[in-house]
Amino acid sequence: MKKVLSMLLVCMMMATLFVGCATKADTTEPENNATEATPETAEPAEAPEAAEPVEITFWHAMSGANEEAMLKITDDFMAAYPNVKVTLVQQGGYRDLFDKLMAAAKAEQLPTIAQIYSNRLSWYVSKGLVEDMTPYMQDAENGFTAADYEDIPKMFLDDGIWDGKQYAVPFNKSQMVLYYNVDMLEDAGVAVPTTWEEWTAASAALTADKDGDGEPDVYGTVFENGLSTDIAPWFKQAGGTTINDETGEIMFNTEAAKEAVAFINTMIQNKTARFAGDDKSQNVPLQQGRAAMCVASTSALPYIEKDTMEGITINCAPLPSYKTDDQLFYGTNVTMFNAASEAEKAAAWNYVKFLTNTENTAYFGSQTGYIPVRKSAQEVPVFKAVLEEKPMKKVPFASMDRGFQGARCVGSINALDALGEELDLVFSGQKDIDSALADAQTKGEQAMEAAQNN
Amino acid sequence: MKKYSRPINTELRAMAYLLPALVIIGIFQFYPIFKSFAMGFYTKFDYLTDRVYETGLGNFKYVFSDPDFYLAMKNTCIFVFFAVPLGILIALILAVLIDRQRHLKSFFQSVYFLPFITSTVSVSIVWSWMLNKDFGLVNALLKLFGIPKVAWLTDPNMTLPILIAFSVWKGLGYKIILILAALQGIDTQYYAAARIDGAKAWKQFLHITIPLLKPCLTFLYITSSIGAFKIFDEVYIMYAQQPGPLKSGLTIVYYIFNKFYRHWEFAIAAAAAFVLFLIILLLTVIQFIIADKKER
Repeated sequence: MKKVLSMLLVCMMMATLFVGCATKADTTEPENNATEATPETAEPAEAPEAAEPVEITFWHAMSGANEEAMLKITDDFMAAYPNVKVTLVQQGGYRDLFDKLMAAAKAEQLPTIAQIYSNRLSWYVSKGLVEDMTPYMQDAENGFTAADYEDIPKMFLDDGIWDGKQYAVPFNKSQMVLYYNVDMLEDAGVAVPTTWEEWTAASAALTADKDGDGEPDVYGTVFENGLSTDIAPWFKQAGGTTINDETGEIMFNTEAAKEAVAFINTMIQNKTARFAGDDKSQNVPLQQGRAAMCVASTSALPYIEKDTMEGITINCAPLPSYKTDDQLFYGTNVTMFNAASEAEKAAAWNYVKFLTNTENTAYFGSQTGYIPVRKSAQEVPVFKAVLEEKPMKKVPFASMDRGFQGARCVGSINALDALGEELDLVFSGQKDIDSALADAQTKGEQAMEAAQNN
Repeated sequence: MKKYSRPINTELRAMAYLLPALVIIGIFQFYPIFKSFAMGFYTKFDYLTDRVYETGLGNFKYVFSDPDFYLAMKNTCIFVFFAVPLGILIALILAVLIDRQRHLKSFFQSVYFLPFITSTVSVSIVWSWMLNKDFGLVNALLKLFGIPKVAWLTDPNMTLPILIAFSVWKGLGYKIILILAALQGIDTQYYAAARIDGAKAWKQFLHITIPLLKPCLTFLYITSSIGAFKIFDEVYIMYAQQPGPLKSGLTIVYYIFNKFYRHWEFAIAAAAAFVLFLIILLLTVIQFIIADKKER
């Protein structure tokens, strides 16, 4: 009897094991079938009329007010397109999102659409995993009009174009700006700096060591930790660049680079500027009156509004200029992966178009720190009111004509990380600028080459 | 015939019992190990399609000529060298002290066990708050004694000591419980005999407690060393997804993680992971041989 029972148990265990395998196979297959079967049945680019229910997934990294705004727009979309179900999947921070996308690419489980930086997307484009959205954009009925192309700032659109093909559409964009404590500047009789020279002087004048322990209680300027990927504006303003995106050529060891690094390093060594350090975000000391200025993204605005201590007024200005007045814009785009079925792609295109249309980008911009991706958003009442109430929101529009976006070629992250490690040594006083930049050049080239092998 | 059928039957049954576990371990443990070992030799390949164009020793060469890998090795070895013996020593002392307690025994057991069952991530966040230079609890306490602020999390010299302290503290509970159990397994008659012979408490500890705890301590030493070689989470969280200031907290697993997830250098990460595997294997074998010899 016992024998029979134990054999039975073993059989049951085996059975559950195989059932486990079977259910797994079940869940994956329909998707594969769908991809293969639908092209014949789906009507391209005209999903709104298609009655067949379609489900698309959107992986993103937005949280808090940003996510809420996105949810609202998505609900509106689903109300307008009842046959489409958009599943928003919050994947954590940007890094978590990119890690998961990479794993999903390997497992052939990529979502229909995802938020992504172009310096990450370049790899997916090179692997042929991304859908070219140009045909959807050029569709006579459901595409972009000439006015649409005019309306979206060129640098934003260009950020999603590889070889003349639109692989990503701008979604949440921001600008690197100089935030400052209005009263501190007024009290010290310092004007908002507009040049590097004025900035150095202002930073020195605003730094204060009240208890005389040699460690300033108020720093003139605070920079983000690990400045490497965002060092581009100073390289550009000194007449150089970090990486030539067309050729993949690394430009770390140039006179312009030396000038740019020396400019920041002087402030750091004089203790009139510092990095965020323990504060983690550079806007935190500004919000608490422990810094007079900080360099941060306009996307930090909601946090600054929420957490600034009473009695402190914060405003922002474009980055002070030097030889040129280049201003850095960053942020992610929305991309579409090509494993989806035609019906899913069509629905996804409608969603992307809806998400970034004038009305919705204006709403998104009004609820978050991001810049609307269309100039016409300035005329939409909801955003117009915000512009009037918060003058800081006007800065990006005034800087757009001088804007640029960072390097994105495959390997640029690795090369910039190599630069960052060398710069850390400079800022901590362990290496001189010339040898650090020479080493950064060599290591950056190696890192770039290694990255392009994958 | 019937005579032989029985053992085969039991063997089959044993196999059937083992099969589920073997299948799971095989798929999720052994297959990835072999796969990543193989990937370490891919010098030119397509990560997505697994198509390999070229194999060779290039990745291992790269790893062994990368100063960062040596830095990671150095940091990890220093960490293991201090954290493991220190953790066992402190756990042993505390376990002996707790063992003598009559009333508060279970209270102390739970107190020391709490950090062990709390997730490393949340505890790391708490530690990073405590160690904050301007608002941290630690610097506030130091201030009471007139000691100036210490930049715990931004001074590269502080990284390894903090990680060692963290690991010792976090692992205490687990080690104490195991040592306590072993202590209770020691026959009290040994101590009675020693007392009759006039042995002092210290002598009793040295000549009765320690030798009888040896199997337990060896086990702890091996498992903690293996665990310590894999240190990653605490660095990643406490230093805001950076390997510490100026790479002072770069450990082997961090190196592998960075190569894989941040830099997408998959084959190099696989090669480094295999080197880590070999190190741990070698260490374990050596420790087993030593422990085995001593027991004989």
